[in-house]
Amino acid sequence: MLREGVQGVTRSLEATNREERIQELQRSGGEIRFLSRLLGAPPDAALLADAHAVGLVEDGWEARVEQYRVEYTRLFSCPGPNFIPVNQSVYTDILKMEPSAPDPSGCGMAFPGGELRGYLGGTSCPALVRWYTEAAFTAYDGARQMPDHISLELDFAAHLCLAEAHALVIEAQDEAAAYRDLLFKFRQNFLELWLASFSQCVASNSVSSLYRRVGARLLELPTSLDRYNPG
Amino acid sequence: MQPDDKKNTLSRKVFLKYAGMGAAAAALPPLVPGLARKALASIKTGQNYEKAQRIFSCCNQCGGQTGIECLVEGGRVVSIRPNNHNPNGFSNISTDFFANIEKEGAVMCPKGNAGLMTLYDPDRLQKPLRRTNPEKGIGIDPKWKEITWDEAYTEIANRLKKLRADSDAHKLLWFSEDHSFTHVQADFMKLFGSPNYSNHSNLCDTARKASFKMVMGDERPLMDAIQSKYILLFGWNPLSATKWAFLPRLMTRARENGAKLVVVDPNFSYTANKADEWVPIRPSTDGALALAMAHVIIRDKLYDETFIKEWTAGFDQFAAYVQDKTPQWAETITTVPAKTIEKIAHDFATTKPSLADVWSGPGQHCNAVQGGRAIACLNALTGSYDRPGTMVSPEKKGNKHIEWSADDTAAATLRMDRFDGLKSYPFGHKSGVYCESFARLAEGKGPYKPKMGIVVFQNLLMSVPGTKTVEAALKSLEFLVVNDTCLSETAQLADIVVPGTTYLERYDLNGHWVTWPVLGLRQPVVAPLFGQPTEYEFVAELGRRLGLKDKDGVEIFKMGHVSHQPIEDKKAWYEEWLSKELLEGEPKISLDELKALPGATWMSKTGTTYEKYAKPVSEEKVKAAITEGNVLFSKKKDGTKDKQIGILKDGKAVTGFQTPSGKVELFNAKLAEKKDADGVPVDPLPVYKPRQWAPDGQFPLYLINWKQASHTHSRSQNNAWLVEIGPNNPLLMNAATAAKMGLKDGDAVWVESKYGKMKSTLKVTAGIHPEVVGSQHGFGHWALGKIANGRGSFDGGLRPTKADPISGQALHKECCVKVSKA
Amino acid sequence: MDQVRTEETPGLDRRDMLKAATASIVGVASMAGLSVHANAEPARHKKWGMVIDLQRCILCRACTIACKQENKTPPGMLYNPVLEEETGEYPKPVRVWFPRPCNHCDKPACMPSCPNDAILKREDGIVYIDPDKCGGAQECIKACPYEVPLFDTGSNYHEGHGAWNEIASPELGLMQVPGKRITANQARKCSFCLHKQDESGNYVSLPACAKTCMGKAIHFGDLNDPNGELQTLLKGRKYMRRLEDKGTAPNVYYLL
Repeated sequence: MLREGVQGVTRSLEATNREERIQELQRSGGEIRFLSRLLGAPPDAALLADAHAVGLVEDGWEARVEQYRVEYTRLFSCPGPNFIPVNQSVYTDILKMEPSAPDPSGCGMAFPGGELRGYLGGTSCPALVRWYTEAAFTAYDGARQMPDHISLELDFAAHLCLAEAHALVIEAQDEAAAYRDLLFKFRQNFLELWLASFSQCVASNSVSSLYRRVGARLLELPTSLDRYNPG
Repeated sequence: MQPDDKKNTLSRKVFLKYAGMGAAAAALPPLVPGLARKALASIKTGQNYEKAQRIFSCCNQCGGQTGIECLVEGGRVVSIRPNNHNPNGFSNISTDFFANIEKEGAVMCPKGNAGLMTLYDPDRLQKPLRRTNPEKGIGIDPKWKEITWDEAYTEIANRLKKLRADSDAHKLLWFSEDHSFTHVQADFMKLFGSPNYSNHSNLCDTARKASFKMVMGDERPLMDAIQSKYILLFGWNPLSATKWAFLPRLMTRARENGAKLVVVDPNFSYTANKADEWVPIRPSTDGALALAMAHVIIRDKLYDETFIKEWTAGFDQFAAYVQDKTPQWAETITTVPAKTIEKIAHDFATTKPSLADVWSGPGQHCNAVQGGRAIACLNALTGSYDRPGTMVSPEKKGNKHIEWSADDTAAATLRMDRFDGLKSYPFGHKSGVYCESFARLAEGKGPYKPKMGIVVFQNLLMSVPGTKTVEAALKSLEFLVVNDTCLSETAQLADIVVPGTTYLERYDLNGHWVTWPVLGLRQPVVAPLFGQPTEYEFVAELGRRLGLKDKDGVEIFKMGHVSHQPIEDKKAWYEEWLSKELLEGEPKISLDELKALPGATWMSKTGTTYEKYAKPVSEEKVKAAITEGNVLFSKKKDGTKDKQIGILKDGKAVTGFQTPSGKVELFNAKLAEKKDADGVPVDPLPVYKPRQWAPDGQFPLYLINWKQASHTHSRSQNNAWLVEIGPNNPLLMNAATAAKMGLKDGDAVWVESKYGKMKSTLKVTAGIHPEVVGSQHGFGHWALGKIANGRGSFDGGLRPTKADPISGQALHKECCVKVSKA
Repeated sequence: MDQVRTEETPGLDRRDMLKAATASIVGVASMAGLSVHANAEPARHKKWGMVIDLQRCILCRACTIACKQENKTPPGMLYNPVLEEETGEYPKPVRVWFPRPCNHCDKPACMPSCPNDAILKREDGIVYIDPDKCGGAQECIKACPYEVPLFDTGSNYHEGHGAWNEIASPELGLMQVPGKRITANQARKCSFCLHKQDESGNYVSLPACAKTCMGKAIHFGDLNDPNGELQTLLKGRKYMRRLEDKGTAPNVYYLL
């Protein structure tokens, strides 16, 4: 009776921890997805209402919808001096250029070939497509096209959190552990290779409180996700 | 702000809402058993790409359309190499191509190599933008707001609908580049009901087109350099301003085979440096030089008597005209020593085969057409037309532009005059007259007031002379749409900017750069990176939203033109469009068949042919022809005159030249019946008239500009590699001139004309005419990207927005300046 | 993440590389003085040099860029520029151009000028500036008649453009990253890509400029080999060296 009781207590403790963890994963996943939506397109009224509810924008935001849309564009969409690159390739990948075909006829020009940083379409892209496919992740309607866009990488992280939560709900422990592992590796190999640089720029270049706070939140993200690290 | 607890609860609620927003709108992402573990294991094994895909296409870093072979791995383009099946990278003569391509291999210039940097440029526009700042102008922040494609299409289509509904369809102006997807854009304008489709050619070489057309009936003869023994170039730098990648090889081989190269140019260009002789000349006077050469050739009877007798018209009038155009006369005008003129004339006429060609040096002054015509006449004197080693008429067979008929709504406004007054230009080109369009817009002149502009793949503010005029012109439009891959200077003045595609993301059919029929396919190597529509899909979508139909009620932009079924997917629709052009044209193959050909290049089996003018016309064609004098015309279905197919010469029907007389014309009296845009009759002879804008005491120097291999117009200055090779465009000045003016190499200088000024860095050299200063065109951006911004100087503001009155060619070179220390 | 480099730098660490070379210099110096002449002794050392064919050079500047790519030099610093010289007067200008790497002279003017003895000549002929010793005096810059050594002001390219900011440079085996480089406020110059040598002093691949040259004009090799490519070229064609009267005995020859 006592042993059963003890087991019962252990089980219910585990259950409570599990319950808590599920709650937390869902909350985290939801928050990260919310951040991904904020970075995926200029905000509409619905998104701003939610942003207000979580304290990212001040009261009276209704009158400033256009302003936020213009600012989103200035920071994330419009090439120019204030543009913050939103694709991982620009931060972490190398573009390899071949030397030009030898032309000894004297056209007066040639390329030796070499490596450049800061370009789109790097090896991150096919690698991410592979991760997304393997983990059964599909982009939402209206998502950006390139797989290394910040909004997609964040949405994928959210997907992994929520998938782990789901696995825990149906008590598929091994699957849950695998999702946890995937998230950890994803952060290591992709997201956190550039998240700090990106977030720093966002936090410091924004004019409005909205994106400044988004940037600040993104800077904290790795720490808050660390509690989900695989045991 | 709310107290923390309440905030946390509220936040939690919001986040849980987002947690529920799965892709499938289920409460949580669906779980496949074992998927995560499998994913982990699979990812550990590393990326394993499928075999790299090899896709043939054509480059478009400039208009050269060099054949390329791309390798795609994991959805990324990893390599671009030359395509040995496309002669654009090797030779413009078929015998040379077939004999040597295997052992030598085609080439591609470094701009082509830099293609990956264009495709993956981080400064590319990714989404449509709408300006929120109603104020427009250079240096004014548009305060862009990103919008969805649907929002962009809706706004543009609504405005177009209103124009059509108000019978104002002709008030839409459309400007585009001249080699890519021009047919679909022209057809849109036609079915919409606007006559105002214009493209790039009249910013480039319509003067040359007019010159050669007047003389031998072909707008675009090509030089057969490799077989030539004497190559005389006026204002052309093919070894550096290398549009066609085969040019350096052709010229080098020619010289190895003993050809002489003589370059007439105010600037000691790279080609001039490699030439046997550099003939520095005062800008815009090349026509006088040519006339003096003709004088010598006729005086000393060095001309090809047989050719003159058999195949030319107007020799006597021409000879009479040049009788007093002595080398001494020309020396005063051109500053070329009479002795040099005598020598070149003699060598040109006696070295066989020889050719004389002219491009945008003399071709962009107001006397360009007659000047180029005089040069074209030199070839006539030596029989240097359509023979090996001379100026060859290319066989232009290729894809066919299908002609649609406009419906009644469109037809009504199509009848309106073109806004740019093209018909006042007797040898104007169907690409229009950009300068006239913009001058009229800026000044509020013209037959009506245009309301809307659509600009595709053009940077008008930097490519049309007279920046302030172009700015005023663009501002005068109620609504401006720009389609481009980058936020160019012109895009900054738009109301809506939509991202276009690079050449690696789309289709085109490319022909006409070699002397025999060849068609290269440009096909998507990767899908558009940002999910954006290609330019032709953009046009098709607008066509669909407007419900544009032809006279028979067919929705042209929706109907598959081979299957005759509506096609929802616009890419598939365009693929049928291209198939139709190929099937109806010379190749008679479908798009898929073209893709399957080696190097995705179609080539006619009959290669380069010569002396086509002597080819007999078949008896049946002669029987069916209409004869006017001794000129034969084919008949249209309704019995009216169609195309000129030949002439009766010595009782035989031969093809002849596409001129009114069927022969090479050194003189044509009927030209005087045409008046140019200034109201002056076109002279029947290739007269020399000095250009209008002459240096004077206040502005004593000629300012010219040119192209070099490092860049393409104003398009490439944001490319990090290309600016390492071509970082700047210093102003070149003659050493003696600089010394006289007290200027030193490296000085910062002001270059000023009566229209504006620019700051430059001086480069002192012995390699430029003493009366001339000049620099490479395309620099001096104030937008486009962080590498291009502020680099070098831009001279567009120093000239008026003016075109030559005969052909409508923009006058990029006609400018006089003063230079002073800054 | 696959960040494969185009070429592997042989495994020698910087200090080993320079130490080994210096040790042998001390040996040679004590035997035959600092300069090593061609054809000096039967058991000869290699003497690395270049023969550049001016007829084949097409002024494409691929060598300049290849060198920059290889050594990741900071903005404005070109170890091997292609210099253009114009002579003659209008209307008959004469334009010549030539790549100008370091000449690795037999009697380099830079070496004795250095107050810190930072410039050393290896037994294989390569002259290099030891970054451990360079004090930034810039005497070498004043002394060299060819204007070869350049001063590294410590500047960088902007973030996000160019590989130079974040990828380590293999030059001299230093593997220094631009943001934290030792050579800031020091002199630097062409080193004939000595980092491409293996332990036995042979080149794993040619110096970047020679490897890239589009016109096949730059020939790199052992001047001490009487039957080698360089000596064969010099026997067959007219050639010159720059500024002969300065007495530096440069080891870059130009075929006319």
